[in-house]
Amino acid sequence: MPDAVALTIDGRPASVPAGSSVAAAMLATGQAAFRTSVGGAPRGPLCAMGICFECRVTIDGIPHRLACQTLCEPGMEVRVEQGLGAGGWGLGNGAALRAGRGDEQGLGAGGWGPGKGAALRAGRGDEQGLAAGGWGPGKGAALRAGRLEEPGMAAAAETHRFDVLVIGAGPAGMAAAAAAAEAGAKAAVVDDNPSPGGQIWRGGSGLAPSALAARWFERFRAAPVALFSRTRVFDAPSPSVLAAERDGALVELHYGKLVLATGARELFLPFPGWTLPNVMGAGGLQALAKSGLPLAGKTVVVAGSGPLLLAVAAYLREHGARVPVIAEQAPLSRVAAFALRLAAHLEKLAQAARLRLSLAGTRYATSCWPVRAEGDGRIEAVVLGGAGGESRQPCDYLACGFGLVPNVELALLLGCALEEDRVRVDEWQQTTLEDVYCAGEPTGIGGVDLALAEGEIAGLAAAGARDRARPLFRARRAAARFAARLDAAFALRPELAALAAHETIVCRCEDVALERIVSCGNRRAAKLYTRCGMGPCQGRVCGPALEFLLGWPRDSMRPPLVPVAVEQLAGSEAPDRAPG
Amino acid sequence: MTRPVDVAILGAGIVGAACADALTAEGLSVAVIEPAVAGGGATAAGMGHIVVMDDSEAEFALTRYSRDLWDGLMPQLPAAAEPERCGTLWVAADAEEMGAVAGKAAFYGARGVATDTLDARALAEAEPNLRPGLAGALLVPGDWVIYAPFAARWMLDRALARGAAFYAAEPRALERGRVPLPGGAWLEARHIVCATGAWATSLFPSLAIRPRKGQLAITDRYPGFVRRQIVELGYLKSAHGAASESVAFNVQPRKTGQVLIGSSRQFGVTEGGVDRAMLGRMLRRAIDYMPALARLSVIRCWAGFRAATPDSLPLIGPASGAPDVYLATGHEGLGITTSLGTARLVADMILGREPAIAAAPYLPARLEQEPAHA
Repeated sequence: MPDAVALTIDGRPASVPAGSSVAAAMLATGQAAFRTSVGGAPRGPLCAMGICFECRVTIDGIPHRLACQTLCEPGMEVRVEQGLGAGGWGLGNGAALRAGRGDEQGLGAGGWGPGKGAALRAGRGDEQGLAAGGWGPGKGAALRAGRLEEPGMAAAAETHRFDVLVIGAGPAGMAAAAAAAEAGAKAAVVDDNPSPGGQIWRGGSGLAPSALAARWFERFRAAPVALFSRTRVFDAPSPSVLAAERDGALVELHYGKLVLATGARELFLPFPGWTLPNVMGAGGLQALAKSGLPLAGKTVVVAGSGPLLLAVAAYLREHGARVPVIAEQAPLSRVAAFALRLAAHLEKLAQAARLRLSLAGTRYATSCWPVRAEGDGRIEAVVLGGAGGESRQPCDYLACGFGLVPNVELALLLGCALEEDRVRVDEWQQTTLEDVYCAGEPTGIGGVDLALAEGEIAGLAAAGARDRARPLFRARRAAARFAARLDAAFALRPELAALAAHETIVCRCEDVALERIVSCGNRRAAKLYTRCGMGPCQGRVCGPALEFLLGWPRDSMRPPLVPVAVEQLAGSEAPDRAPG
Repeated sequence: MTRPVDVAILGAGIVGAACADALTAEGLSVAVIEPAVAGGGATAAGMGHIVVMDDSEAEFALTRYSRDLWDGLMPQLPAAAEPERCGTLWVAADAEEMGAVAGKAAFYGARGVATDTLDARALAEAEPNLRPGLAGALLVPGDWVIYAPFAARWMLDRALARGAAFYAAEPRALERGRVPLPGGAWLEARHIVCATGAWATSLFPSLAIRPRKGQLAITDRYPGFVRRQIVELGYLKSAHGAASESVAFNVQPRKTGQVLIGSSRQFGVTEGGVDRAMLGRMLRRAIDYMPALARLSVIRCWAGFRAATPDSLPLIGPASGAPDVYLATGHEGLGITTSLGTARLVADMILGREPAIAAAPYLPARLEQEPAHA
């Protein structure tokens, strides 16, 4: 099998198709639990898009790597993270990470712990440095070149300057970057995924789901745009500069104008059992399927709200999954009214017809939502409730999303003004900061057509070609009208805020139950006294949920935007040594 | 009309909360006035290190007294306060600093504080992630680490359970014997305790307190990576030097397995956000001492303001010109440690008792050049 990659997952040999993500590989080989939560419960991927940090695993001895964002490589050693709760790894007591590996020392007892001495010392050729596997359990496994150099090396900053810098390579970002470059600007686009396309066109042009996507990939490729993939912006350290991380190295990006096209993530609402492995986002499961998770013969219940559910269900079925039911929380009356309106949009009608055709045999249940997930170690069945009463549906996966949350964290860090949860922009897509533009979902959830129109306008305006942007206003207006209808049709019903029980975990990073959060009275107190929102996802999952459940406003944003290695946050200057 | 109280406490940071706890335990009626979340200011911005210091006899006396009080309180603290007696490791980089270790050991030893001197090899075994070649360290095994915001909340809750009142308000002015509340009401109090940290100067503009900004970074969970609170001996130069900006290597193992990385000091700054240049300097210094830190993942950074005084000692006692007002501020970086000792001193002063340690070194009058209270 030339296209297979051999690796080990918790000591077991596995072989997966090349291009698979570690998360897809683990799930494909039956490993539903990726880590043990702070409270001792098994967890697996939720968002599959680098947001939730539930899929953290130890890869080649490096803890806390995101399985969903990492591609499998030959010889890779992947280990489930256990016992991260208080005292689990502590002080070389041997508790450490020993799942099924009695022959090796765990992380706590080995690399870090006493006895091994010299582990992880940088810049010492005579000792086992990081690159020689000092940290990791296996010697051969070792930190591959290009992914993890010695600390001193990795901190060497790479610096780039662009007229127009676009953050996010989804439809809005691709359109902005292409339009800016076509208008003569030196343009670049930065994205944390392995290839452009964003979530909706994930997987790049090879998997482009429509003629529209194919057209844009072609235009994007033809334009002289610098593309930084697998690159995560983590800070805005000084005016007109962003700091990003790529392959363990610091990348400094200087810009004249900035276009934020940071997209959206799924809204997850807590309900009993939602923390069980194999309960994941609707877009999340689709993303996993696109990154190599085989679904043939699997039973998947799709639940939540919005047209994304239909697209996801169709995609999963095309890839062999059995989808007995789509549970849409919105009532039939609203969904039907929305469907009628589709007649005004011919292309959308065609899309809808295709969806309907490919979903024959799948029940589309309206006024229906997940009441609880059941299972031991992973989901085995979901209980659906709502207008039609309760019913139990056995399944392998629950793909569950309640709409989208704009990613406005970078805009907030920069100081752009928001309107409700959206970035405020003028007709040129300019934010309240002169040099910063914003396009796509962060200005309000609007879907791909609106994102493309906004992106193109933002790119042109940022490149100083406003005259070429103006003719696109009409297309933007039309797309915005459609988006507004979508919003009204799939508005979330208040009953969903009551799904979580007192003891239901809301903050998954720190395992904080709803009742403890509620008793604090506000978000700041909940953070301080319960650690709610203090874990590595930085409240990106529980924050929007608490906004819906309790009406708690969002928090301010501090650096780093995403977890980042100490050395990258430290910047590129020489070590601060004491004088003398 | 609100009920008159024996003592109104301004501020529910750890010092105000400890005062509320101590005073209600004495049977006094107490009201606490705090505009934000209890323990959410400098209390949440600091490291939660409970440490006996040897910079001066007065500093030693208050920190030692306070640590003894913490020793007594720890068994009662709930797990969420994350108490951990991890001790402090004062690291010597070279032979000269090793000389300072001997001096510290003698100082502590003469005063009954247990220490253990580690040579280079013992230090490398104790903390394998420190860089090789360090000269040694002084271990003070009795020091603690706690999660201070929760400890503050817990002490405040104890006071509330004993009948203390809580007002969510920001006291912007004081009058003799009363404190304004929102809506035009007044809270009457026989005594007022001002525990508003670096913001005490908004009520007492002539106080010799300057805000000294600090930054911290915290990592994801790496249990066992660091075992002791590790501080470079150069820290004292940073903490007590007059330099307007300084950083020192100071890392702490949290009970969660996270590593808390400090520390920095800045005078003359009022902007509250994370200062990237100082953060960078601080982290690079930490990496210099502990190279493996470089690869750990930071999940959050923040900044806060310590209330610094010219002689690095707190202001505990009557404000001049306002004899019913007691100051309990100016703790700079030692507020978590000294909160308990401060609360006892304030209680003793209000009750007219002889305190367990001499109060004179901390009396605000020592620093006053002019009447502070108009």
